[in-house]
Amino acid sequence: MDKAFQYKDVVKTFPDFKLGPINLELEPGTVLGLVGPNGAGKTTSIQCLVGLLRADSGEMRVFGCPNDLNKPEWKLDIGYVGDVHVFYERWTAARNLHFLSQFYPDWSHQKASELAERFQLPLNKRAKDLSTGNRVKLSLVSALAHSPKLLLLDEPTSGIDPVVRTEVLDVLFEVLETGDRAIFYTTHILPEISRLADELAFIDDGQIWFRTPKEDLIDRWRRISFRLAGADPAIKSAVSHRREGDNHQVISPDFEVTLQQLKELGAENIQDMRMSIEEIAVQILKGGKGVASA
Amino acid sequence: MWRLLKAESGYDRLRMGTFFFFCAAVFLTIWFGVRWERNRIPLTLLMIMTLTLSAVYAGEKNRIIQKRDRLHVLLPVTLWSIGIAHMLYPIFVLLCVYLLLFLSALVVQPFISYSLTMPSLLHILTLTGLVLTVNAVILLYRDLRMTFTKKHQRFFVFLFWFLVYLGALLPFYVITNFFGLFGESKPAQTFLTRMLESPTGFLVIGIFLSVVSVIVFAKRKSYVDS
Repeated sequence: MDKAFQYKDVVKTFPDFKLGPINLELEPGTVLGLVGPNGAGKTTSIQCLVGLLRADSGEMRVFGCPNDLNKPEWKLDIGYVGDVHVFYERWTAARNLHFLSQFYPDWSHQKASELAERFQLPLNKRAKDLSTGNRVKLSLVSALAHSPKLLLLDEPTSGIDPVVRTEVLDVLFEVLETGDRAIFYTTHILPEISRLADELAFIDDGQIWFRTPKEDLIDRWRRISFRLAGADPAIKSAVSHRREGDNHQVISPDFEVTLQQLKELGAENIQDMRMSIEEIAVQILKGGKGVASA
Repeated sequence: MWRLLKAESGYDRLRMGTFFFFCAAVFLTIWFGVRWERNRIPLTLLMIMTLTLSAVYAGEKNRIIQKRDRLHVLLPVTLWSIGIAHMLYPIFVLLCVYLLLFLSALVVQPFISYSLTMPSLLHILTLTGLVLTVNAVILLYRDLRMTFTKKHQRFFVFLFWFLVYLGALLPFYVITNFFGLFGESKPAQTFLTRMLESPTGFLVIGIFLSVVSVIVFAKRKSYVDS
């Protein structure tokens, strides 16, 4: 079965930034979150895939088709929401949707109306009069109304306030949870993706450091506290170590290895706590490549 | 391509309506202006060109500000279609202006004692070529700026303007033997004079540059900004 998308050695160079080489693929029906700080290369990666940027080298495919901009059939299978929402500004939201509908044979006006209703999107307002939150909603309706097999969401909620963001995401996740589609979601706001993602990939400085199933991260990463007298022990695989007197706290990306070592060192009162995906991601992004590969 | 052209030309109807109303007013003034009898054709052609180019430029600017290239590139249409739609947009405006010109003449004729001389087909072809040329230069400049983004590549943009300058003025310099710079090159002067006087000369240049502009658009490295 064809992958939802594939990047093979994709490189894109700017005067002050280099993306790649990127090698990444996504199975149909899987949700992959691409996580990284601002300027890491998330948007560039996704813009290369949708054709807004031309990669310097490498190959990209969507459901087996090269992302050739002059053979654009592959675009019928994707829905894209970027960080910038472009419309015919003097047209109403409804007119903009009608315009887009002409290009997608699978476009469902009924679905567009239902989505607009769920998002409480005022369809009769001109695009230029829509709030930022409503522009995001209009982009989401545009991207979903033709039931794409691959949804590419590039920080779709950037620039909107937390209240509207929560409102948008609640509806979006309800909609997405019911569909069987591949989703590639880039963000630097972890709570957005942690609810939805099956897998997470971490990117920084234009390189994807590593990729892992979300559950593996949650299972393996632990905050471990223990009591141990004497000099600071060298704890294997710990990425952070704090000490107050004889009480220690470490963060381990492989808690079983760390627990084994602590037992060998004679540590007492050992307690391990699960970490949230946000805490883990912060540790990974703070710690760099070494932490990622630990 | 036609869907894009339809959207672009149907967009912003109020502004286009105002523009066409203004065009009609200009043409009526020209038709009623008895004193302009002898210069009526050049004046009409000048007005058509100025009005069309200002409308096309306003449309292009609007599209750039609203980043609509970005919207179009994401649609399941080829880059060639988008480029050709951009190229055909000025033709659409020009056709509307011509239509207004003829309609205004029809309306005016019963009320005046003299017969109106309309621009000939050859005039119209020349004008179409000029509009296509100017539009292609605007599009090429925008696309070259997007393609040659690095500092050391700015030279290509400068080179482009230099070539535009040469293309626009060199023929006149050669024909008039500007400051005796070109000597008496009779064949070149004859050829350039013929080309500039020929109604199809500008049309050929306009179509050629428009095709180049479509190719350059399709080869752009980025469609993030317009």
